[in-house]
Amino acid sequence: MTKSDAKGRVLIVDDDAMIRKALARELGPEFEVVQSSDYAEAVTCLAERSDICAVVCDCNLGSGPNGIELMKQIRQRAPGLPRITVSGNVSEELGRELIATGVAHVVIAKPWSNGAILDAVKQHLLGSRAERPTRVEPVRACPRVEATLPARILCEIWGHAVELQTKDISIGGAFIQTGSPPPLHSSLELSLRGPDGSSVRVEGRVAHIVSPERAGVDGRPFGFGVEFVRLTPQQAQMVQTIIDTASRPEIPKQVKAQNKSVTADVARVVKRLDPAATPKRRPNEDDVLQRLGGELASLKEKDCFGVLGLDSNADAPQTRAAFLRVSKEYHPDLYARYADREIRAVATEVFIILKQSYSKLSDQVSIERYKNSMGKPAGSVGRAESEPPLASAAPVASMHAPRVSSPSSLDADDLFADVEQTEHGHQPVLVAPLVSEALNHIAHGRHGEAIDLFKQALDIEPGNTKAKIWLLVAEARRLKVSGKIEECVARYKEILGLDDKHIEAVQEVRAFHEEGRRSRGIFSRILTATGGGH
Amino acid sequence: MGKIVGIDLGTTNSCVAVVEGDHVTVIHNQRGNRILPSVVAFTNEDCLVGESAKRQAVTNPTRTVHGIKRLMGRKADSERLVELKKTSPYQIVAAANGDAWIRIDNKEYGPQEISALILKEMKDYAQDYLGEEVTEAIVTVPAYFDDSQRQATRAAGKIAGLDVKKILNEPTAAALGYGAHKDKKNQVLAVFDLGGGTFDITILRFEDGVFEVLATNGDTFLGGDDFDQGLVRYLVKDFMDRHGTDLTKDPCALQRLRDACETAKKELSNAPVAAINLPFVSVGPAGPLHLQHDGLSRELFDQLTAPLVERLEIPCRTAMEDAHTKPEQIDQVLLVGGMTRVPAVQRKAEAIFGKKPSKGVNPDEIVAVGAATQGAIITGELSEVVLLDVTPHSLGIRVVEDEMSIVIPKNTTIPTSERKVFATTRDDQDFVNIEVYQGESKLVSQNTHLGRFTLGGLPRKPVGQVYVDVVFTIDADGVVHVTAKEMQSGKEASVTVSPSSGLTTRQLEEITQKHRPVVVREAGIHAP
Repeated sequence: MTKSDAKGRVLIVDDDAMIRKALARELGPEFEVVQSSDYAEAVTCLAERSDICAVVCDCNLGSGPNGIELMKQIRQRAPGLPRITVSGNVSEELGRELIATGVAHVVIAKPWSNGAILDAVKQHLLGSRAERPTRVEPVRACPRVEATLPARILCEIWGHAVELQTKDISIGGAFIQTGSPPPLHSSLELSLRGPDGSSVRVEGRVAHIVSPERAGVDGRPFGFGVEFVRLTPQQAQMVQTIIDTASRPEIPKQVKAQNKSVTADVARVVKRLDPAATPKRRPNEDDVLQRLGGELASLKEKDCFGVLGLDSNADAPQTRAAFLRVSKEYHPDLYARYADREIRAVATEVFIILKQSYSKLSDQVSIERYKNSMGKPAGSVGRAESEPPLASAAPVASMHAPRVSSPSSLDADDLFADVEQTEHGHQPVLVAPLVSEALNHIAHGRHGEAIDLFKQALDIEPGNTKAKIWLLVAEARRLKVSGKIEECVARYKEILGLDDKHIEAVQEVRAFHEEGRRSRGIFSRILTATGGGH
Repeated sequence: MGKIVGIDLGTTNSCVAVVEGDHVTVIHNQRGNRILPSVVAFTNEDCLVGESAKRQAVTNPTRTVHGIKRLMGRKADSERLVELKKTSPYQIVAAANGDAWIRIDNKEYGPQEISALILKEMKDYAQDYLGEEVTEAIVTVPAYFDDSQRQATRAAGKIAGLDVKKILNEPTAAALGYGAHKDKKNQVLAVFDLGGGTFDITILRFEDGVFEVLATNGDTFLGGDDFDQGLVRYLVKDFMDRHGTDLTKDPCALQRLRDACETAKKELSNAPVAAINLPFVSVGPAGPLHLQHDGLSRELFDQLTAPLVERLEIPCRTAMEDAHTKPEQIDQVLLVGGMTRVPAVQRKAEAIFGKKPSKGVNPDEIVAVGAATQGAIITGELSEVVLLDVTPHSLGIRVVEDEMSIVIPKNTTIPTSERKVFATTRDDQDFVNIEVYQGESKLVSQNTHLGRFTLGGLPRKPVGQVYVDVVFTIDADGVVHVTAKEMQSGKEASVTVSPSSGLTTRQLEEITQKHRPVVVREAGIHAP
């Protein structure tokens, strides 16, 4: 092992030389440091070197794309690489959003306390080195016990302890049931309480996630798998105790009773038939699952033609033949033979993508329509999942019941309303799905895509105030993340012009006025220290 | 993995088949019959299934259950069960959640459990025939069965100790059993399936190894039993006029009459006239009464059942419309189900589709044969063939009072998934209810309620500012799943599902446990 392997290499990105020096000083004793001063340099550096083990990056990188953009790029290409954001003008909300959307693993505000950055790098580094990104394999090879045990999870991302439940547990880890798992590879602390009252606190890392969509298909619980890390012998023993008490088998009373009623004239052997118990997944099932998972991931990146394995010159007979061909390969029935039902669930997701893509290309008219839309920005292309199936012509028959147009005023007792119907009455089909999808992008922090879609919606219907407000919200959030605070606040003020009770706008404008006062203080501090300016 | 058998769990009769090598074998039971009557009876000593149960029905009418399929997935107060409640000799009661259950000897049984007894019987004789354990099966259901009915069928399989690999629609199974994939010619098929309790019409295209269902429709309350009932009503009235006695008050007499009418109906498919003779059917003031009717003509039968035959037309027309197919574009019409032997029914099918239906299809066994073939597709013994089925009913949710908002329209190819975004309608609303329904009516009260999903833990914000993203999925078996998350935080709100019908997990476990065979044959020794 060479000396450079012994120390990890960290990339520091900041346009301020003084800050870079300070970071290098802090990380230097334990890591090799590589410095870049802007987005372009950082990207070049990452492209040329394969030995970077963590990135520490400022939000603001002078002109050009900012630190957030850089983080997003890194996330796409190397999702396991620890990303630490350092920034002087990041609010607590923004920080949470960056973490919640997975853009950064840690957000640290300037000025940072001594050693905070070093700690952050070290903690997240250990997590990623343990990961094997090339294989999707079950983390725990040890026998699992089905047990619903109370589990108290303390995870940095969440900020506070959360009480959840396990689905199963082994000496290697546990599966926790929840609809909102922390991001993959997050570190956490887990307190488990066994059925006999004993409890143990261990450290863990999120090893895999089962999303609600996947779970929805198969009816299994959603949640995340935790891999226990750095178990001390005492902790291991306590975990084992919990496993043992949780799995103690009970002899069912009925079996005992039925044994007694067995007639004596035939000698019989008592054996429990339990066809529903799933046998352990056999080795070739792992391969199948991995192949399907890979296929699913790659399909999500492709456009409708690509999904069917065609180029955009394909005509209707070709798309039909392609659809029939992929149906014979990916229909979930073909995967029902496997003991592990997750295989069938993944195949179902794959098949749904194939089907949705084909429904956009099922006849010449649809193909033309789709090709026209392909020129538009990324958000509108592809299997806009929130778009309801358009009434496509034969052979894939899907006739709609007529859309119900409801009155715009609602009964006070309603607990529920359909966005499309309350706001738009009898809108043409196109607007509503765009808005839904755009909202989805906003929820995931993809402001760029959301903005494109809201603009499209406004093209179709310029008077749609709701879409206009949301467009401004998306723009404002994006501006905030890139540090353009003045423009951000200007957007919020515009929103207030349209709706003076808009909560987010009111809060942001108010916070700006207060923060403005505060941050000016920090700027002045740094200004005097560096002699330069942001 | 062992063999996957195909089971046609019918209202009146059931059948099990398995693929052996390059052909499909319909398995016969110890009596040598390939069809098992779907009848379960409880006697003082025992529980009987099949032929033996049917034979003693006359002497034990209140404890003999036939046609249990009609109760699967249904509510006790369903208007469809009104007629059944009046005429069935066994008692139909409501379970705690309103599901239709039956009461026998002061014990209550769910339809899943009774159906499981029939499935178990078939499992047993299939095992005897194959000489190996059978734990996996394909079970068929009418194409028009809704989610509750399918879940109930799944539950029955589990109770019987079978891992149901797929719930398969009967007409699709029939198309597969017909063997369209064997001559490899592309064609459009119409499967006209009139069985003991249900009517299904499915239009499919077979192309390049793929059976693609274009549309399906039907009536889950129209079947052979109703045709029998037509005759029964006529004869009861006739008897009343002649002797002043109401036979419906006497369960034994009614059962005898019902059996006789079923036999007469079958005879009338071949002969122009049938006779019914029931001596000592009842007692009057002057002594014993006999029911004798020598001249039951086919014309009379056709007259009595004409309204039922008429009801066959509309589902067919609707299915063809939904499939964008005209009668002349249909290459073959397959008749499935015993009732398609009735001449009036055959004439109707011919009139609707403008062509003579295909012969050479065994209407009683073809569904089981198709199910077995699907088993072979799953095990991989048969390759390059796949079934693309559809969901027969529109899936939607309740919005605004009584309105149905459709999320997945009927005849959408499954599996399928759809997502919709909803907003709150009250300030500080921190939970939302999603009520899921299946059906075509614009009013939810006239559709089937599948269940309620409650999403809690939403952030409290003014009206219209909290958005919930809901994903509806229908899997390859036609079963519905719903998940949701609150959009702005991306977090999932807590989801509690209250399905509107079916067994709870605990009930299912308990009943399965009750029926779990404790005993298995010792190697080489078979129970007598």
